[in-house]
Order: sequence, then C-alpha cells, then structure tokens
Amino acid sequence: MVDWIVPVTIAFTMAFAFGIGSNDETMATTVGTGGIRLKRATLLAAILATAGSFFLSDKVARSIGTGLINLPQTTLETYQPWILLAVLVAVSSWLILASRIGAPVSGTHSVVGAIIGVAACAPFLGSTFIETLKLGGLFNVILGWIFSPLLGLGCAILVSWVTRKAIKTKIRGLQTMERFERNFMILLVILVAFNQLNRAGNDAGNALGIFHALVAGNQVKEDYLMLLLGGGSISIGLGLFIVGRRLLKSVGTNIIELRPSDAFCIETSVLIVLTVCNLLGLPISGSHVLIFAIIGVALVKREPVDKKSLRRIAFTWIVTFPVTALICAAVLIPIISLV
Amino acid sequence: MPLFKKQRNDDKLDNQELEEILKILERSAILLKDLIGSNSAESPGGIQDETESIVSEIISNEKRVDRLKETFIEYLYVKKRYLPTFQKVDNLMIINQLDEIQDEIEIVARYYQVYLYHFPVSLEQDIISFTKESTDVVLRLIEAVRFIYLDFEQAQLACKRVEDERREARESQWTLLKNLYGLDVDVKELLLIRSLIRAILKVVETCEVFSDDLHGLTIKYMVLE
Repeated sequence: MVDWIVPVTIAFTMAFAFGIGSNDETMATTVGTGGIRLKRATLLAAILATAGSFFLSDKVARSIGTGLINLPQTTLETYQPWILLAVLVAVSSWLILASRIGAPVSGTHSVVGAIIGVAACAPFLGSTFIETLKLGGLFNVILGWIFSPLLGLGCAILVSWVTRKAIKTKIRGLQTMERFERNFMILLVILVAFNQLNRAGNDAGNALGIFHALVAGNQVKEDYLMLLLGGGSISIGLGLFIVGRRLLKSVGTNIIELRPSDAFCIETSVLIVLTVCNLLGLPISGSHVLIFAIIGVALVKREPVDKKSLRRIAFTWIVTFPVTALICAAVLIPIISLV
Repeated sequence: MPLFKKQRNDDKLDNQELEEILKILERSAILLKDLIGSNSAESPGGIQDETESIVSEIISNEKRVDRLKETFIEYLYVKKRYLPTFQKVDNLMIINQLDEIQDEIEIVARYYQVYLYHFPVSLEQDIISFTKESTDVVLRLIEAVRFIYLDFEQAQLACKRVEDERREARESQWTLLKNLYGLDVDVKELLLIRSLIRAILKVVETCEVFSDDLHGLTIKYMVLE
C-alpha cells in the first residue's frame, strides 16, 4: 500500500460527494414553479443536503461497488485502493460534467458503469470480465435502470389524474385556482424539503461509505471519521450550491411549465416510487423517476414536452454506463501496468 | 390546511388593487354617461362647472388606475411567483386592458376639456342613448372580469352580454351618424361631434377586443381544468 493513496482517496471521495451534490435535482420542481427563487432554492437545498448527508447517511453508508465486483483475494489486496481510486475518478468527473451541462444522471448507474470499466480491465488483473462482475447484482441494477423511468411515468400519470379529478369540481374561477395553487405550493415546499433530506441521506451513503470503509480497514483513525463525514457532507452541499443550480434550472423549467399542483404530483410520485422500491430492495434512480414523473404529468395535461431537453437527458441516461466505464478503464489500465 | 375543504364564499375579489380598479372603472363609466348628459340642459354656467368636475374626476381616475396597475404588477411578479408564466401573462393582459379602457374614457373626457360641447337639440337624445349603451358595455365587461376570477361559466355568459351590448351601441352609432350628417350644422362642430362619437366608440371597441380575449381565457381555463 502506498502511503499517499489514502489522502488521494479521501480527496477523490470529497470530489465524488461534490459530484453527488452537483447532480441533485430534488429542488428542481420548486424552482420550476417559481415558488422559491433559484438562488434561495440552491442555498436551501445545499443546507438540507448537507444536513441530510451528515445525519441520515449513516444507515445507508456502504462501500462503493462491493455488491458488484468479484476479484480474487490476492488481486484485491494489491489493487483495491487503485480500483477504488479509478472508480471515484470516473464517477466524480462524470457527475460534475453532467451537472455542468444541466443533465441529471444517476449516481448509482455511474458507479455501476465504472465497475463495468473495472471488469473490462479484468484480464490485466488475472480474471475475466464475466467472473469479475457479480451478475446478480448487475441484473438488479439494470432492472432499476429500465424500471426507474417506467415507474416514475406510471405513478405520475396516476397521481396527476387523481389530483386533477379531485380538484376539478372545486375550481370555479381564477381566484379559486390561485388559492389551490398557493396551498399546493406550501405542501410542495414541505414535501420537497423532506425529499431533499431523505435523498441526500441516501445518495451520500455512496460517498461517505468510503470513509467508513477506510476506518474499518484501519487506514484512517476512527477519531477522524466525524471530521471526514462532516467534510463529505459539506462537499455535497457545496456541489449543489456551486454547480447544482444549472441542473435545478434545467430540470425545473426546461421540460414543461410547472404549476405547484403539477410539481406536487411529481414529488408525491417520486416519494411513492422511491419508498416502494426501497422496501422491495430494487436499486432505482431518483433522477430518472423525477424526469419521467414530469413527463407523466405533461401527458395528463396534454402539454408539449421540450424535446431538446428531453433528448439531452435521454442521451446522458444512455451514455452514463459506457462513459464511466471508459473513464474508469482509462484510469485503471495505466495504474495496473505501473504497479 | 383548507386545501380540500370548502373554499371561502366567492363574491369578492381577493386582490384589493384589482377590486379597486374595477370600482374606479365602473365609476368612470357612470361619469362618462353623466358627462354627455350634463350638456343637454340649457344652463351654460352650471354646465361648465359640472362638466369640469366630471372631467377632472375622470382624469384623476386614470392616474389612480395607473398607480394601482403598477402595484398589481408588482404583486403579480413578487407574491404570485408560483403561478405559471401563462397565468401571469393572462393577469397582466387583464390589468392592461382595464387600464386601456380607462385611458379611452379619459380621452373622451379630454375632448370636453378642449371643447365644451353643446349638442344640437335634435341630436341630444341620440347621443345620450349611444353613450348609455356604450357605458353599459363597460359595465357588462366589468362583470365579465369579476366573473373570470370567480366563476368561469358565469364569465362566459357575461362575455356574451358584452357582445350583445356592443352590437346595440354600434347600431346606435350608425343612427347617430346618420342623423348628424343629415343636420345643417357648422363644419367645425360636425367634425368635433364626429370625433367625440369616434372616441366613445373606441371605448366600446376596446371593450369588445377585451371581451373576446376574456372569452378565450374562460375556454382555455375550463379546458385546462
């Protein structure tokens, strides 16, 4: 083990946390409705994400990709820090890049893509591609990759349809419509704040779990764990505040014009789908559930969807696996040849 | 949370500025009718005082509407940020059109400021009746605006009533013009009365355009919901 690998891993884990924060679009619907201005929403999201990451990530903190990789013990002993580093470089760079172009991507899918990149390097590590990947875990992730959009879409159509039916007879004029929207706005802010805390807690587990692993492997003293977790949580908040605003604007305003009642239906759908899938143990992407929930609401409203934004989101959705795999392999192969 | 409870009884607008603008416009329409009627009496001194006071009230009403419009727009873009852009634009259109009608009424009053009309006796009743029908269009339109905030279905009916009143006002205008052109009056006086009739008709036409827009809005929101 090279001594400097630990600080480098810590630095890249912070970058990974920053990437997770930068690609967190939970607050997008409140920005889209105009209920909270972009700057304030970003600040609020950053504070909630930091708090959620710090206080709620403990239970879900997990080592990155351990459920998907299967290498011989001797290989792992030699290369594990380098594999971790390559995965972190691939995932953090892809998350930050996607956020910069305003495209929501899944952190989990990015990690899986990077793990596929590790598997692609398996011949250099004395194994094969198929042997390296734990196919059961990968199958679950692919299932989630396919089902995230479908569940988001279906649930949003249902929630939106029920909500519209419920309020249709009660709206008589613009005044009652505005009153309803104002009430939905209040509910939306509460719901989104809850979702933000919850999701930050969940997503942060991917990054902050690495610190737990470093402590468990005696590479870092336990006394420093809280400091690292605090740093990681702040990185998530900073990522959201510095880079995330572009994504919030892009998801919230570019796809369709949102009313608070629409946004409420979207967030409720996201909450239902994520809760049910978490209970079923199906790894699902919150980003994709959200995007397709927005499309579902647009379908119920028979409103046109901005195809340009949608194409960009679909493109990043599809290329997440190959891009992170390529970056990871590109980082790992030179390292393996040097070590 | 009153979200799914029975909403407040809707007989009044929530927005004070809009409510105030509608009241001012209603008052201006009544003043316009009084203004035209004020010159039918045969007492020159009294006429001038009454006319001047009506004209100055209409002008001050126009200024008040401008101020209230500014406050309403600020309210729309600050407190009603959560409304989608199209709904803000619709609100903005409503307030701008109301202001435009008030402006048109002010133009009629301004004609009186530059020239104190004394209508030929044979034309008096025609012009009074034309003005009454024109102001009725404004009053029906105010009803339609109120209803679009309170009840879309009622707003549709109100728009229909505006259309009916507008048709009557236009018919009256042709009768009035026919009678005017049949009179043996001074050319300057004829042109001035003609201009006044055009100005009053402009109030009606502005109301007509606005009413069509409102009718479109009611359909849009009824379909939307």
